[in-house]
Amino acid sequence: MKDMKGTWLRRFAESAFDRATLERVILPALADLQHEAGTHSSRRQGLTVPRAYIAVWKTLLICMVTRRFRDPDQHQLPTELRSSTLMSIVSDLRYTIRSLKRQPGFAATVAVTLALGLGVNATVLGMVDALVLRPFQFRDYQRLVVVWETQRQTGDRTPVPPATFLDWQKHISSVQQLTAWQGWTPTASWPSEAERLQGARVSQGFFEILGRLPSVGRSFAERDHDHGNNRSVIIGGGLWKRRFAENPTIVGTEILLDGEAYTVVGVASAGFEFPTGAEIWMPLAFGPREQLDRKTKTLTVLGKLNGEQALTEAQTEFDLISRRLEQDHPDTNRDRGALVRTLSTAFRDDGVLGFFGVLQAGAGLVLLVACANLAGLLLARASERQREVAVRSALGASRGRIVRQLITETVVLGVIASGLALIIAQVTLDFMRTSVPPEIARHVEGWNNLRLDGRLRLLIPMLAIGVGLVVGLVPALGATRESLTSTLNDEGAGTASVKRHRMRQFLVVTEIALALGLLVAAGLSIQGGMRLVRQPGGFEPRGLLTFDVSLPENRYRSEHVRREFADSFLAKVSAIGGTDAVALANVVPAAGWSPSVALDIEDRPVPDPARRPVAGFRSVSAGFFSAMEIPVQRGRAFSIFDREDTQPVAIVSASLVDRFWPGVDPIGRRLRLDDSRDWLTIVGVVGDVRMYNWWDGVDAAAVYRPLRQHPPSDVLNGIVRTTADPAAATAAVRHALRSIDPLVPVDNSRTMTRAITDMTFGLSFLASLMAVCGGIALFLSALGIYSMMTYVVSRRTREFGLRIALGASATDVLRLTLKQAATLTAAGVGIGLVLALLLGYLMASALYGVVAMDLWTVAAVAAMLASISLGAAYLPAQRAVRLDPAATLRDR
Amino acid sequence: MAHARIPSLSTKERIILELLASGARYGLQLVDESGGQLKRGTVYVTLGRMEQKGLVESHVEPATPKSDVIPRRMYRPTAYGRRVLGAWTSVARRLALEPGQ
Repeated sequence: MKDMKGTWLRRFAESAFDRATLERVILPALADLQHEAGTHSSRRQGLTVPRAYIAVWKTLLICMVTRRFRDPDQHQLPTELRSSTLMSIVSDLRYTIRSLKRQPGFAATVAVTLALGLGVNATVLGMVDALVLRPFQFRDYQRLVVVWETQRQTGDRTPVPPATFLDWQKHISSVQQLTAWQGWTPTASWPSEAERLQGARVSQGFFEILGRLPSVGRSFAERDHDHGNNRSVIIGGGLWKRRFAENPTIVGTEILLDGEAYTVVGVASAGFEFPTGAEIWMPLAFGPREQLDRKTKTLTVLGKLNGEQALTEAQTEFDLISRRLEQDHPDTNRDRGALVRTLSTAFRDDGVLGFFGVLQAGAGLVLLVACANLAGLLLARASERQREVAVRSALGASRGRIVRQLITETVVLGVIASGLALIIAQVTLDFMRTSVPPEIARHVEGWNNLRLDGRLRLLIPMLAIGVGLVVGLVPALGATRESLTSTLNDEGAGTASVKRHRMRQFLVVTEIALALGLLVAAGLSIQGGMRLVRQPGGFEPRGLLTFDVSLPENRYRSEHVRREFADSFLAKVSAIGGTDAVALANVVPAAGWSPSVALDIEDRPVPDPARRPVAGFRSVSAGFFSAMEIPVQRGRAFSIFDREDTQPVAIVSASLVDRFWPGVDPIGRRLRLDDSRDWLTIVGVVGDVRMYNWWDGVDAAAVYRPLRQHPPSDVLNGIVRTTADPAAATAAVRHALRSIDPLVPVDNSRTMTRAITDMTFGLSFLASLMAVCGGIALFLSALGIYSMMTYVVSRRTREFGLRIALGASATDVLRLTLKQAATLTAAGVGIGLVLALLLGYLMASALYGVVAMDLWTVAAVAAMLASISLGAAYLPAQRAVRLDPAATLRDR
Repeated sequence: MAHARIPSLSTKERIILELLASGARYGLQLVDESGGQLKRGTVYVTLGRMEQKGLVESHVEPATPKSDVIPRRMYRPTAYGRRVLGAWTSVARRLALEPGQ
């Protein structure tokens, strides 16, 4: 062994393992590593030396786990090796493994407690990573930016008109590439039916900038973007599978879109659905008129920053260009600016941060409860090991050495717990990814990327070790602080023991308080979800069928054609047997969006444009209110006589009346919408209707217009009230529509009840996750109280024995024990109530009024937690009263 | 009636014996030639176990002139190891069904 000198890995192995393991397993691994390090650059390009080091470490770990340690009596180690830090770490590890094996129950409890706390956090962090931080998995995604046009006065961001985009493209230098897209929803004519597809018109370089070239065929070439010649398409993998059975010879096939032939030139790479949900793309081409158009704002602009170019520099350059355009085109570009945002943050829903904030706070609380539990367990263990510590100290071990030994234990347990936590997170994220219906998952960017990535695999063990160090340090320092003599003579009944006892009580109170806060938050989420789904929405959802009717834009450009279509559709569908009522609207509840308009009220000063009041905007056919069963509170509903050539009228919701005409009859008063010059006369007031957009809260104030006076552009929402099962009417509606125009598809057909459930999925999901967090916190705090009470009872066995011997009844002892638990529970609940009120307030502000503080929820949760806490204390208390006083006194 | 104990052979052990059939090799070489079937972190532990079971034997390469370099350990199958592999292969062939059977 004399020639075996060199790396410290070898030194470590020599000190730790028996001769056979060293020579047969570890040295061959080290030899290969050395040879690899020597010849790596010339011979083995596929493997890196760091990976070889990891392989050697893995070998060492396997040997440690399989107990191939050196027997200290067998080989006399050199003195300098015995006293080395390395040797003492090995010795600590050996001692820890032996000691944990002696108390597997303790080891398992600590590991599972920490694993639950870390597992919940790893899951939520995995979700935040996939859905918030990196929703788009494109090459160099950190450099991708989205640019909007802004209105300086209001700060509103809007899409970009073609001429502005072309100017940006010409002048910008801080952005490597600039491309744009606009929404496109063509209607495809398949042999058996028409289908509305979600897609985009994209300018040159779209696929290239995102680094996702088609997997079959080619990307769009320059010639594909020639105006009038842009009749090629790239289809998504889903559409390729659904309609073409993944036919590899698809390139060159012609398909009919909006009645015109398009040639398929490629199939997008697997999983590519950008912009969210898109499955077909065509080249964007600008005609001579469009190239000068500075008004039609339809483009979303995507760019890639130059190398290390900062976002702020790009913003500055876009600002400069905007100022120049403002000077060159004052009539169209006045007060227009530009806003640059990273792709990751550009399309984030307003409610997302609140949603994940609540979730992360919940997960954080679970980890805190787990830490409190862990600290309690470690304190109890430290008390039990006081004599052992004192003996080791008496034999010459320094305080630092003993503290390190005790901390090694929690760190080892932390590493085991992190392994379990990663398994929990992996299983949960896989379950989430696969259990959500594809039609919902498709519209949540990043959902299909929900999985545990390398960074989390690294972060969680580090967090576990950190928690182990912090939580293990206090009991370790406490255990080594007490004087040797007092410990050996007094059996640990000194001041330190009292301090430890107080610390344990503090931890139990903390656990109860945290669990109460978390459970109240969970209760409020569940209640919010239920309230949104079950409370009256201002209409009768049962018996309603809802669906989208998409009008191909090239054939339904004029308002007249759209009016004609609406009339025919209403007449045909009304004739279907079993139909009570039918109506069309620009939007219906639970459709997933809610258009709004700015208002001017007659005889009131016109405020600053940025402060104009806003209300929901609905364009509805005659018969809408009766079909939806929305009550008309004053005036009248729309009729077939409200036509484009009659007086412009509007109906307002009750909330709008309360806002602008409180206590006054609004019938006959007038208002104006957006930039229109026409004054609309109010002819009726209807009840408020919920749109079920949980991230917006309740948006009940609305203005209704007759469909004939304000026909929607391309997509209409149809509703049919039926006497029988509404879902069964879908086929008849499709048939009726086909008889009017076979190229108009019916999409998204479902009952209104189902639509509401789908719409509130996000909140139900949050409620479920919070309920899981609350359940874990409840379990952990019950476990904490139980273990604390068990420990307290075991420490007071002698006292109980004495009391019973002196005539105390079983009830007296039971009362004594439970009183202590009740005091701690009351303190925990008191502090927890303050925490719960704070959390409730935060949630209510994060989820825009959907979740509100509810005293009944708080009271119910507090009562439940108090009962569980007392129940957990009752079991050890009952054991105490069954003790035989004589045996107890003898034992001591 | 007493039965002779059938020697066990894990997949990794079989792969190692098959690779060693054509000549002695060191651990890393086995990993490289296994096409990803053997892992660097576990191959040495497996080889150590196979040596204990008598399936392979090893010798240390002659020391290099540089004294601080650990000599490599070369492995080759024992006669027993060859017999076990032969028996395993023959049983596997017999049990494998022809397509369509």
